[in-house]
Amino acid sequence: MNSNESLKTFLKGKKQRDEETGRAADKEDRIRGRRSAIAELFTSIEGWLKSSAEEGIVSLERDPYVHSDEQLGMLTEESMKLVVGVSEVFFVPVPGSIAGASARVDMVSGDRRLPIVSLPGGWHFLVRGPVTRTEPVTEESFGNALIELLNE
Amino acid sequence: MNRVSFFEGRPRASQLKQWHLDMRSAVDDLELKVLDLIAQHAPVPDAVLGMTPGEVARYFEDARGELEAATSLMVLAEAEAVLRVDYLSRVRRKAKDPLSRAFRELYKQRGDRVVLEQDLLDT
Repeated sequence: MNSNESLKTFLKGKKQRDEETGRAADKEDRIRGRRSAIAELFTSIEGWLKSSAEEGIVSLERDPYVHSDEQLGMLTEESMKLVVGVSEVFFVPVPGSIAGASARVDMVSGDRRLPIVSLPGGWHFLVRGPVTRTEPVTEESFGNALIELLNE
Repeated sequence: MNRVSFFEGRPRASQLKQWHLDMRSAVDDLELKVLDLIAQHAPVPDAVLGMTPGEVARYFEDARGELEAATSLMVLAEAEAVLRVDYLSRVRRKAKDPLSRAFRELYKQRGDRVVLEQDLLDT
């Protein structure tokens, strides 16, 4: 067997094992789950800011965001940018396994960063203090977070 | 003069060492458990919820750093306690060696209120 054939045999075995153990399907499920959860979050934010966007107070823009994940490989997801005045807030998916959550999007403005995690009950802000707590992402909590992030 | 309490109720250096090793081992075990939970996509302790593997590593490095600092303070406190007990026992025993004489002189001036670095170590 030449080296090309032995490599092909190895790769075939690897593919077969991943398919048999369900890892390949699990990976696809996780990628789809992440994309759909992130899209749902961004759609909610766009809805909450719709009237401000229509009046030209803020602008929202989604962009493709390519990043590398240790387990899921190269991922093409979406990021979102909110512009108000000269300030910008980025909503950036975080790669890698996230402890206790299926996905994480960070709300970033300057050196301020507020993590939002996808938990079984939906998206939650992570509020870190002496005790870490979670706050469901709602129109009200999102508004409060945005004010806090943009306040100089 | 106050009665001298010889080591009662205070952790010895050997106990502090064992305590430190136990705590260090507990932190290491917790880190492994958390990494395992993350790999299984299972619920994790609130303290590390939402962290990336890099953030989890930094969290446990910080915990080990805090443990080192806390242990250092406890060792320092234990060392000071040993020196204070030695100081008071030398004052009581009225031995003739130079250090005991110096401590008795110091006791006449400052009594129990000696400062570790300024009084005991300099003597």
